[in-house]
Amino acid sequence: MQLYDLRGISFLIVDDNRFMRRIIVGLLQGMDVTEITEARSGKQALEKLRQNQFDVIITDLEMEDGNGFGVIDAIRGDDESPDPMLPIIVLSANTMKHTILQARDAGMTEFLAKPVTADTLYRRIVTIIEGARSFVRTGNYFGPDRRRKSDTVYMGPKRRRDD
Amino acid sequence: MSSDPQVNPKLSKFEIIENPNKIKLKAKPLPGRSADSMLKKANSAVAEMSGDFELIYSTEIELLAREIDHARQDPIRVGEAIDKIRNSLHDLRGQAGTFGFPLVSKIADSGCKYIDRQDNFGIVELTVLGVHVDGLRAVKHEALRGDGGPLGQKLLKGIVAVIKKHEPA
Repeated sequence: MQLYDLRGISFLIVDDNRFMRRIIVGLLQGMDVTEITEARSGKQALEKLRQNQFDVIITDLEMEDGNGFGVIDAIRGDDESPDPMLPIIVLSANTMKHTILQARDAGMTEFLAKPVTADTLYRRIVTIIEGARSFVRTGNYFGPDRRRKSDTVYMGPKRRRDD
Repeated sequence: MSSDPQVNPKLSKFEIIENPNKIKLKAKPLPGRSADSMLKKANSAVAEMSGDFELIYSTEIELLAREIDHARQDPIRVGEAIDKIRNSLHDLRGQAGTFGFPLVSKIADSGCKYIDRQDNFGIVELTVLGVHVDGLRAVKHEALRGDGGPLGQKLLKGIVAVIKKHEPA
């Protein structure tokens, strides 16, 4: 895997579990990331987002005080969002299909299942760097293009005017 | 509006916005160098927290057992106790695999999903949760790492059997 110098990238880690935050911080520091801010709730994450600029946010979904969906909604949908196109990595132990689809439809950039390792986390970061997708705005969605693959033999109903 | 009859008019209005990809401008590729040694260093940094995890694991087992007891003794507190049990299991399933205890993650995941499927928590449901806590305690007592080998698999099968016995398909 290509090595990137991540020293100039700033991360916001959102998780209500302090030890989980320590794990993520430890992994990022091991990758030479130096700009790391922590938030222990969705509410605190939104305060930090108003105060500072970040390059990537890594957020848990299930938190006691304000869940991760609220954070994604505020980033993608709020008129006062400081950066509606901020890359969002959802980090969750809940890997039920409907949860992943819900996070995708809320506008997450990447999903990272717990337990996390340096390899899985770095892979998501590299995907964001190398494979950034265009954003799509529809009547009920704003976020990264949910089409990751181009299907040249797709035979189903067309959903976009340009299809 | 497209004249193509296959296009759903409700879904066809969309705008594509180019992603400036600010992170790509900041992250400098280091050509010819592999990420392997950096990832090894990052995993080592976390492996150093293994002792802390094992301490947390022991504490959480006791918390889980205590909350199940509270729920049994005081039905008014069941909701509060289940929230604490769910949170504790959720944290364990998310962390244990990182430290070489995927069996703990599996047992905790089973407990979380069991809670999510229930509407009410009476003696039966608390007993099933108690079996999960017994499983977690056994993993610790037997120092079962990885998938726990034959004993670990027997433990998992036992938990699944208890769930099946008490939960209608």
